[in-house]
Amino acid sequence: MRKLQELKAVGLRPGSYKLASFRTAAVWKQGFLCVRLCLMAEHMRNSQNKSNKFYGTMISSSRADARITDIHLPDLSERYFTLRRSDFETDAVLNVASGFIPVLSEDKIMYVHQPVMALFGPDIESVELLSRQISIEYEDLEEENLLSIDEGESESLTIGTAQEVTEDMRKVTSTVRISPVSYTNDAKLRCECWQEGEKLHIEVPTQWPALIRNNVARLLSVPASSIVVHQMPYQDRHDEYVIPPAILAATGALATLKAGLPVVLVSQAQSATPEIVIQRETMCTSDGKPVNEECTVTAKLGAFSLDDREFIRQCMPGLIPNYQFSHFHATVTTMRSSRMPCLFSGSSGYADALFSTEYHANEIAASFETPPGQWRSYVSSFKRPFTDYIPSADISKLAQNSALIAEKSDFSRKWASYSTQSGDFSLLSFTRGIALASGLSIAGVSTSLAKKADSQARITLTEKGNVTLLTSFPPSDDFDNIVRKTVLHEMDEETERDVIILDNDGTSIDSGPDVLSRQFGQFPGQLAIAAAKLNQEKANAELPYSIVFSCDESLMPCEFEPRGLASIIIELSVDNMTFKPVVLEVWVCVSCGAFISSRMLKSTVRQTVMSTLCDCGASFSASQERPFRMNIFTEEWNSGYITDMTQALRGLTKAAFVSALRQTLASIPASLPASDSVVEAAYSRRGKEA
Amino acid sequence: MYAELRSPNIHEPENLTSYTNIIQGYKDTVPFLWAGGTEIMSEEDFYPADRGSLEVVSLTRIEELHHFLRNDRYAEFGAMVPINDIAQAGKLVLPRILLDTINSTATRTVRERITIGGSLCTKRFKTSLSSTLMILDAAVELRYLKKRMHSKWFQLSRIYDKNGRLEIPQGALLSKVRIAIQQYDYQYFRAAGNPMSDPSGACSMALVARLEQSGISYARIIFTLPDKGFCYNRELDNLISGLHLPVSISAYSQLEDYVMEYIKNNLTQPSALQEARLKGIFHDMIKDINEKVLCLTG
Amino acid sequence: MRIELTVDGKYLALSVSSDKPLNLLLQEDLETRSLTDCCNCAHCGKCIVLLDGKAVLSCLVPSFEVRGRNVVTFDGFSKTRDYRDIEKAYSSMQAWPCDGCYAARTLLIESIVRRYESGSSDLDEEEVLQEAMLVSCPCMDYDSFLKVVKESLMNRRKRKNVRRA
Repeated sequence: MRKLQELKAVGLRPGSYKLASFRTAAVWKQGFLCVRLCLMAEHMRNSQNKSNKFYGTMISSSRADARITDIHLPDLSERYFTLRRSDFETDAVLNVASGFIPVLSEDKIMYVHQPVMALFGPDIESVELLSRQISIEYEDLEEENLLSIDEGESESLTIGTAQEVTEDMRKVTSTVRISPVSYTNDAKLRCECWQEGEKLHIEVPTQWPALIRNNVARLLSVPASSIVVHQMPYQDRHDEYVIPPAILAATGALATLKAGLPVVLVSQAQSATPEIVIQRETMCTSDGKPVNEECTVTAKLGAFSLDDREFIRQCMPGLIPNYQFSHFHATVTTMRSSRMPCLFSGSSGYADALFSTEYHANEIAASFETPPGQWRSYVSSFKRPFTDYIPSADISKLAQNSALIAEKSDFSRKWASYSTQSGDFSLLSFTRGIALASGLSIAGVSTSLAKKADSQARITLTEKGNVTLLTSFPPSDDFDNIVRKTVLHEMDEETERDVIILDNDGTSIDSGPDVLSRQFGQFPGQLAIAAAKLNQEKANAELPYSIVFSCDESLMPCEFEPRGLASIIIELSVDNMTFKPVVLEVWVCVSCGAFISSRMLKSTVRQTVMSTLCDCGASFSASQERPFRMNIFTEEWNSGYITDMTQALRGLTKAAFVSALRQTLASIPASLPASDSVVEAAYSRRGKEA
Repeated sequence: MYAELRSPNIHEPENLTSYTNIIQGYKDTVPFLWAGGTEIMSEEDFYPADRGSLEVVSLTRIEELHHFLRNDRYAEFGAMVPINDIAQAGKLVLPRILLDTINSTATRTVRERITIGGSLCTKRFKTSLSSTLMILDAAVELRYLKKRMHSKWFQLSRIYDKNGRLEIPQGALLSKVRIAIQQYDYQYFRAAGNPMSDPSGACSMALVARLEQSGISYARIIFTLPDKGFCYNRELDNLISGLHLPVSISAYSQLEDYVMEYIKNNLTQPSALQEARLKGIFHDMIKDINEKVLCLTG
Repeated sequence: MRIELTVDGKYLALSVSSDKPLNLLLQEDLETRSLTDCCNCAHCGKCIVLLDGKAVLSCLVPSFEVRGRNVVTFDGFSKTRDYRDIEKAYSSMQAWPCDGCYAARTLLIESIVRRYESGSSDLDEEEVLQEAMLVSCPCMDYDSFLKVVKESLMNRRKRKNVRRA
């Protein structure tokens, strides 16, 4: 009864929804009640059963840089139909961020797995079998139609003034290469569309419901208000639920209108990472102090330009080193490539930039034959310089964190011991490495991108004194918990109040894409500011009183805010039979928001580090004597807000992994992922480097 | 709709007599024999598939195929005994190399579904279990239809061609596996890579040997490349049998070159990764046998 | 093919293709929520269910094989007291699997616990570490997995008052 009263209190109308079941995840703690009202996608499905639905599958290209000359279809009975580009009345393109990407293509094919057409039929198995009989003929694209690699953006950043190079200075260079990888999610992406009166319902797992609603409305020429997007739960590892669900939804929605029946469309959720090469050149004094540093980044971001500027904005803060220098200059250039477009893909630049920065720091230390910890403490800076991308930040705690895990891992002794593998001792079957990396984290998208998408959320103080939040971020118990903590922390009075997250019906508000840990890393800070404002204004306001706030960092001076500090040490060995890098133990210390959930933080740290190591090509020790172990230490940092360290941890894990691998096998190139054959080649060169 | 039109017809005989009756009833079409199903269900595009009117004979309920017996000389397992049960039941008596091979195959949860018969009759890749059983001189009982149902025992190595392809009469049932109970002075098994997900990079080696004071008096060695086949020959066995222990560095490098050359000439060119891994395993084995000998004599 | 089976305590009769993998049967025909995130037979390990009390990769079990058998998915298992033993172990070890593999990992742990709960044999740590690799999701280190299994087993034995010899 109380829940129903709450529903009325927040002004929800049953409308066309059938309130068959609503999930209430109640979290009782310290006398407060946070009720999460989630009107699940309970829709009128009484008339829907398997026999009056169409099932479909996407047919995609098997080639890149080609032109389709013919599509051979098997004989299709009247129970089957296809959907092709010509079925769209308008240009069949999705508008994503600042760019466009075709929904279906029948002419020029730019990348492998580009959607070509959709096939629908009475059941998924028959459709799947028929789809295997479809053959597509291609011809090579003419020279003039190939991608122009120059089509991209370029931006530079300069800090400080260059010092004159003297004879006693030494040049240290490093190059890191990150190969492009296409990831396919384990789960199949499923989109269900149906009509109900004037409304077109789309049920799909997506990180950005507004992207779907706006694009479907434009493509089908229907008002956006008549489209209801039901956001289904998803497990994303690389932000793969942004573009593929939108393509699926646009195709599925058109099929629903065409067939006049509900349709279920299935395909694979895929994402791709960019191909990045980062070169650094540092002039150092004879005692190892960096003076001038030059950094060049070249990134191939896929076949279509969606938002190259965002990549550059993300990349720049990661490139700035944490050590002292007189002059730093970085240039980031983006290009096109015959691959799936990379928009967010897990890191969108920051992690890879941080990887090169920390790896380079280890290389400088190695070139001066100094233990990395010692070199870092000799040259470390306590404050990062202010730039348009990220403000100045006190990073003195980084050294403390690194010292803590160095002590716990016995880093100095192990590092010295493992260093003997090179030179005369390299023939011993002793293949271990250990490395340290530390840095600052950011989270979410830049202010510029958030502003462009007009990301908003609404916080309301109801007559009963409860607080409601309306956002398009996907529901989860962790998110509920964070919202409750953040709001109650800012509403600094002792009144007992409920914090309720309203179900987003897909039409009310757009909080922007839930990518790059934006929901947990960036939003709580923005929510806290809005809650504080609500707290200030509540005395003079008539209830219910609402504030619609922007989900961007516009109150801050830069594109990103520092979100916490992390240090990591990775110890690994190379199996001399399987040629796999086997990670033995990891030590991580993170410093972030003051009232974070320890459970959530530790889980996120563990998952991020382990999944990044997997992406790097590592395996984990399962020996009984020393099974793989992660030691996580958490420290409070003065940023105050709950945040997420995913971005930094990805970059630092890569840096520590590659540096440790290089300690083991000196000739292995700093490229990721490290395949078994690359490790094998480096292993066979062991001892012959000189 | 698919379910009604394309569902394979399943037969589940409860004993070998009813199995024979079913097989005899389908003389023109060869029924599909279903053991644990782990290999076939791991195939890409296993479901849905247009298999026409497929007749599947599930062997799961055939009582005789679940039996196992043991005497002083050998252990005999029905083809449907899960390999995990073999490892559990034979912990104390079966050759250690066999237990090592079984325990290196997937995890216990999967091993409980892999049957010994199924793992000897894989089509897509060669299993390490087959090669280990070959050097242990295991024998298998085949039942096949030739006017009437026949059953005959074969050496395991005889049911494969030189490339490791299964060569048994169409529709034949591998019903029993017999493993001699004997321990060797030295047993070594190592596998690298995943034969299911990366058959072109995976490989394994198994060796059993009898040692004398100054050398190896008897040895059987086998190399398995899951995507290519087995490399198993008397010539290799004799080469290892004649080795003086401990193996010196010069003898080792000659031996390694010879073995790798032999594999290339008699099987096929292994991939670069397989070659490097085989060398690594071979080196580890020689190091291990040297250590063992030095410990025994020292 | 008509298949009769028990899923999470409910007796069901379904008409499905005889070779349909159990994971697809549960996902598509029974809309089991905890199985929405698994692959199709690529051995991701996320499709684990209990078949007659033992963990199986449901993508490797054909429908015809489950006739007359008892299937327990995480949806059903999470309502049992046995689940509490594992949930408590996650909490006390401060190690939780991610949402994507929580169901599979929990059922795998349950299956291991059932092998040893009677108290007749010691936990084979090597076997447990190998089992940890069955779920390919990289969200839990092997050491934590082993600790959670040990803790769950202890909770179970304590609750069921099993005395070890």
